This record gives sequence, C-alpha cells and structure tokens, in this order.
Amino acid sequence: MELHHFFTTQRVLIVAGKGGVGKSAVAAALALASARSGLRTLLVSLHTESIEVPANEHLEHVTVTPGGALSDFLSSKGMGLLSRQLARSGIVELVATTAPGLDDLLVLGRIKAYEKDKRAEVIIVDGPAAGHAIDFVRAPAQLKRAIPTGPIGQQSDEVNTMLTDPARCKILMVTTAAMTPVMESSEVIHELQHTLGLTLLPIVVNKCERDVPVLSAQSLDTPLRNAYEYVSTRMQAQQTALSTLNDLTQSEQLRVHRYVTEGADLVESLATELATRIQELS
Amino acid sequence: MSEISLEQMCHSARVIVTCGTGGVGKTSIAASLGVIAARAGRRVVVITIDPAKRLADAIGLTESLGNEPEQVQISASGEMWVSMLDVRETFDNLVRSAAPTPERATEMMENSFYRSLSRSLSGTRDYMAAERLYELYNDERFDLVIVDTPPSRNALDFLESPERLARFLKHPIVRVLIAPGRGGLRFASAAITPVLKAISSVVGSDALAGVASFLRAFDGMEKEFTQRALAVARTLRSDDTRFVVVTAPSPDALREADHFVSELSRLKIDLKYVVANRMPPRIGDTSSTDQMNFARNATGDVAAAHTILAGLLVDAERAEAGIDEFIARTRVKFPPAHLTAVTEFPTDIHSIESISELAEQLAAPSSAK
Repeated sequence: MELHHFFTTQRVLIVAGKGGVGKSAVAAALALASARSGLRTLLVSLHTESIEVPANEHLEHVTVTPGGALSDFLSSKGMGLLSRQLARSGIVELVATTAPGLDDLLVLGRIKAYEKDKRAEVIIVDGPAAGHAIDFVRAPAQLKRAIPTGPIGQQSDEVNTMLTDPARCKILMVTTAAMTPVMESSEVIHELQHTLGLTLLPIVVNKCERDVPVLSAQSLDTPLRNAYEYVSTRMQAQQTALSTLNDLTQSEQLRVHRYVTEGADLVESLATELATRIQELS
Repeated sequence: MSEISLEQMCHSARVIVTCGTGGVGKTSIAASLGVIAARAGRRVVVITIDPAKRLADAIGLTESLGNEPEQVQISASGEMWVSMLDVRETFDNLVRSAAPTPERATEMMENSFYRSLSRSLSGTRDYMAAERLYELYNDERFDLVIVDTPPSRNALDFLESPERLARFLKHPIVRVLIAPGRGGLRFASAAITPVLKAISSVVGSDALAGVASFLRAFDGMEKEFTQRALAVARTLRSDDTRFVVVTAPSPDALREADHFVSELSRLKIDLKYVVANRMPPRIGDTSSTDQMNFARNATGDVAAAHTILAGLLVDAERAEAGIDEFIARTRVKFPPAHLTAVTEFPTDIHSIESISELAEQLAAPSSAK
C-alpha cells in the first residue's frame, strides 16, 4: 500500500496501546513516516512528558491537555472571562466532576477543531493507554446522555460524528508480541469495533525479537547452548502470541523490531521500518 | 545496609502497596509477594485497582474478578485470595454504612450525579481503592493486604484522595451548592456567584442541580467519611505498611520509577524496597565484547551462537547499568532502599506456576549490590 494512501484514508489517526508497548514512540514514528512521504503532518500528544520527536519540515508537534482545551472551548463560546475565573477559583475540578468525561470530550473537541481547520493533511494522536482508550472515545456518547443540550451536547454530537466516520477517523492499536498485551488489545479492539462502531487500522506489533537461526544445539558448550535455548524459547512464545492475536482479531499486523536505541534515534529507526511494512500491505 | 529481606517483609507487613508504570510486571510481582506470604502460613488478599483485568490474567483466572475476594488454589500452608476493585459496589457499601438512615442511603444512590460519579470518575476510583484497602485491612479473614496500584503516573493519588475529598467538601462553591436548600438552586444560582451561573451554562442546569442534591445528601455523611479517610491515611503511613517500587530496566520505565520515588518522598512515605523486574538474563561470566571477539574467530553454528550470546549480554549490561544508576539515585532520598533483581522469563507469565517461580526468585537471597 502506498504511504500516501495509508495516511490519507482518514484525517485523524488515534494511536492507542497499553503501558510499556511503546505507544508514544510508534505514534511519533508514524507521524515522521507520514511527514517524510511529503504529507503535512500534525502529531498531537495528550500528556506533557512526551517523546522526543525528530525534526522534519512537514511535521508539527502539539500537546493538548484538558485544562488548555477547556479554556479554548470557553473562549470559542465567548466565555473567556469565565475561563479565567474558573482557573482562579480552582473550580475546574468541580466542572470536570459535574460531567465525567468532560475532559476527554474537550480534548477530542480540540482535535476535531484541528481537523475542521485543516491544520494538517494528516493528524496523528498519541492517544490514551489501552485501558483508558474505551473511556476516551466513549466520553462523547456518555456525556450526550447526561447533558443532551447546550454547548456540551452539541460538542458531543460533533465529536461522535467524527469518531464514527471512517473517512475522518480511525484507531490504530499498538501491542507487543506477548500474551498479556495481546489479550488486552484484542478485548479493546473488539469493544471499539463492535460496541462503539469505530474503524481500526492494522495493528502495530512493536518490539518483535529478531529471527533466531537454526543451530545444532548439541555442538554448543554450556553458555552458548543456554543462550541459544533462551532465545529459541523466547521466539516460540512470540510466535504463540502473534498467532493468538491473529485468531482473536483477524486484523492485519505491522510487525516492527525491538531497538536498543531510545528517543529521537528510536523514532527514526521505527519510522523507516514502519514505512516498509506499510508498503508491504496489500 | 537493608533492614530485612523482601521475604521477611512478606512475613511481617500488614499492608503492601506495589507501584510502578505499565508493562513492568507490577501485577505479577504483587501476586508473587502474595504467594511468598501464603507459603509462610499467612492469609493474604491481593487487590488490583487496575481496570484492565491483568491480575486475573497473571494468575490464570479466566472468570472476571470482582470485589469479593476469590481464593486461588496454591500449595501453601496459608491462603491466597485475589479481588478486583468494584468502585460502584465499594461506594454503595460506604454510603450504606455512613448514611444516618436507610432512606437517606437510597436517596443518595438514586441520585443521577452519584451514579455517574461512582461509575466513571477516576478520582472516585482512587478514593474507593483506599476505602476498600481499609475494609480488607480490618477484615478478620486476612493477615495481609497487597495492593496493586493502577499503572498510571497518578497511581499514588489514592493516598491523598480521602483528604482531597474532605477539602473539596469545604470549597466555598461547594458550600453554596449545598446551602440553598430544597429546590433552591435555580433561584439561588442567579443571585450567587457568576462562576456558578457560568458553570451551569456549560454543563446545563439539570446536571448542576443533580450535583447540588448529591452534595446535600452527602453533607450529613461528611463526618463519617472524613473519619474513615483519616483512618485510611493513618494505616497507609503506619509501620504495618510497606511500599514497593517495581521497575523494568528500560529507560522509560526507569523515568517513571524516578517519578514514583519522588512522589513517595513528597508524601513523606518511607520506601524500603525496589524490585527490578524483567532483567535480561546474564548467561555465563564473559562480557558482550568477549563474545563478539569469539564470534569473529569462530565459524558456522559456533560463531552464530557467540553472536546470539553477545546480543543477550548487550541487553544485560545495559539493563544492569540502568538499574545501578536508578538505585543510586533512589538511595539519595531513601538510603536503606533494598534492591531485588528478577530475571525475565523467556515466556509470558500467565499462570500460577509461573507466579510461583517468580516468587522463588523474589524470595532468594538478595542479588543487590
């Protein structure tokens, strides 16, 4: 599949995955791969302690937090004064408590505004952890029931329309080839697709171990044989997890390797490998 | 330089709290500590407040866990039980015990705001985790409660949540919401602070009225809630409670572990135990450089095997260096912090057998330097 096609079949791509699978690195790598292919790309992080992203002329990186999104929202509704009052009174917490999920809705609303303003050709969101992913995308529908009218009700409708339209938004899950993340991702994927009606892209399987050559173990001395047996067992466990993932989700997989580098170097390597894997998709 | 070993801690503590970021195997460690204690004849309950059903996975329980502890079959002279926090049920129980009359409890539980609060709010989850911990701590069936905190940065919020609730109830805006009395909000809101009116224009007046009636219903129970909150806080800071920071050797896991160490230090909670989980194995007694040299001077399968071992040793050396630096930083704040390193299994941990193996590694004489 052409990179342009992969990245432009939707305008917003939300990356989700459980802790430790390397979700932020994958989101940054996808954004870099998209930017390298010449598409104007916006990477949106939802937390302030985000990954180092390599510079690219087509790539912009922003952080959206609920507090910032709330004051943006209020200003856009002509309530800038209120937003300052709220900040001063420390009552933002009460507003958020009054309407659970409001913080998620505000963040999604900010992303929707980027999409509407055509801030970039490709918007990639370094989304919430897998456990929270469902709450995150379910927030608009839930709030709509609690607060059907007014600015919040309208915002909920608009965000929900975006989330459920595959031409506008898709979800990309990241996992590793181990049983616990595979089981958890499969559950989340099922819920997102069947209960919430969202569309998913192929799953990225991160940190895959490199292939183990077939050696004759009898010819090896103890430490070498132990090392060989360790990597062979690890490879078998990885294969089992990958086939379980396949059985549970029937989703296409983009497998990328584990790297010993970190930060911007890691994102560069992952972007190159992901681009190759995407081009191999039919 | 350490106080006692991790194993001895499992024999004497009444509460153990494990904290760490996602993916470090914190849940497996919590369960393994439970196995160690159960083998020493103690009656242990492990609770997870993680919404992903990881603990059930780790110990091979396929049924969904709930608030009510379930016993795990292990060969031990003691007992091991596991449970998963049900926020709604815990909150309902708390309301029933705190309400002056059953009618007041029902009124509260039927409030629309209470229902959404008890279902979906993460702050509520933190608070109920502390509450549930306290219930199990006072439950005569158990000698030891092990709490597996959520894998988030804010995992330690639950330590402060009882106090935060008490502060919230004292907030002036909250007092105004409580004060107008029956049906008074609509009239009052026009007269009182513009902030309240503005909140209403964002979230809708019905939602705000729901909050107001919730707060009024809650108001009479405040004393009981506050007392319990203080009791929970005392338990968590008492000498019966031990905190364990679990980390893996990857740079992002260590960064998060540093954050937990700072949080504990800020909360004035003593940290005595660190577990370095998922350490790559150190096979043989050579270095990665040695193995790369051997690989260059060999051929065929032997050369390939030297390359494989060199790769594993590179991982092991990086991991050990990362953990050494982390424990040195930790000991600046907590000088007696005791380190236990656990080697990563080549396969996943998702059965009680693998938890038992992990328990053996944890209980082994310390590999700390």
